[in-house]
Amino acid sequence: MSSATAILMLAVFGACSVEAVEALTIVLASGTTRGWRSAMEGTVAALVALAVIVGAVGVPLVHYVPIDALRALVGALLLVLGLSWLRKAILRASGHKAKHDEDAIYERTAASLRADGATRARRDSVGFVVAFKGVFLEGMEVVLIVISLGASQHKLGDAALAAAAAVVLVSAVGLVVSRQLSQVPENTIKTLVGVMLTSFGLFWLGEGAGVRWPGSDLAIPVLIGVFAAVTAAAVAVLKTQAPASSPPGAQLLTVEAEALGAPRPAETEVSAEDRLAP
Amino acid sequence: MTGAVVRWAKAFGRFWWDFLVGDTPELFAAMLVIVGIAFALRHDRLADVVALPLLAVAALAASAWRGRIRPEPRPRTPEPRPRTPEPRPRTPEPRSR
Repeated sequence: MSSATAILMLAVFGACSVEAVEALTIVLASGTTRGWRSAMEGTVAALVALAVIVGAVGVPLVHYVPIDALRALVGALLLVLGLSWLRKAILRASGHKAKHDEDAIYERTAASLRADGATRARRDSVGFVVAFKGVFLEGMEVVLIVISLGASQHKLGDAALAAAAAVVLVSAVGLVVSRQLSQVPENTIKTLVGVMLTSFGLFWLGEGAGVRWPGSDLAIPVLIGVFAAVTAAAVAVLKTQAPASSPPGAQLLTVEAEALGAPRPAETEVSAEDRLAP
Repeated sequence: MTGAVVRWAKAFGRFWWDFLVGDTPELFAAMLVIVGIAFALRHDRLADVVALPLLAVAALAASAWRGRIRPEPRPRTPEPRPRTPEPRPRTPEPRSR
């Protein structure tokens, strides 16, 4: 396994772990309040839908699109995705943005589901829809990462394998501890994955455009080092400017609450960025 | 049927708009600039290899700086108001005869 493949699998594994933790929170809230059968059915249906998208979009991309065009396109996509992940991670680490709080998300989702009426029916459509939407929406970003990274290196299978491993690991840990994984250092993982996505994105964009990076694949670790250093410096600088009070957006609202049509607190601002929050 | 297709197309477009642009249009614009530079300078190896990472770093730094919470401006201490002079008793104008 080359170093580029190893970094690719690590990036997919990290990205998928972050999303899986968030999806698990929604599934647990749905399962405990509306019954496990519907929650599990919704989860499985969403995973199947995501796998179909990977197969339907990823495989033709690998086989029919010229590799240079594919790399330029994928590189641009990964670059903008990685930069936005890094930006968010920097703002959270420096105290300018509220951190993701799985406990709060769980409580809010569970409360919305309880308020929605009858519970624990044998087949519960609300529980199914909430679990499906939660897993599907959280998984879409992973699908894009898997397709992008996998297709650009012709390693779609390896990327999908890394994503599946992350889902299995997070699910197993979630089942063992029987609760949402609020102790997972989500922002740290997101920072590392953001650095990797940005580095891969810039590298593939350059390759697709005809740039010859010095050292070929060895340029990737160098880019990772550059972006890691810049991120650390940005966090240090912005920490000096951090406000004393809690940052806005401390009250979290997630896709699952919106999916339920739950009323949004008036003072809570949910950006499009948060709606796709990894 | 047509309504469902339109709704789906709108949702699909909104997803990509949120995904690519969202709250950080500056990052999307930076990505477009980087793509342009990458193709424009592809024959100048050194310039490209140096310019691309520098542009990406600058975009990230600028976007993070833009996203920080700006401290609220301190309320100015009110300047002492000039004492208004006591209103002078109006002298009655001489009546015209």
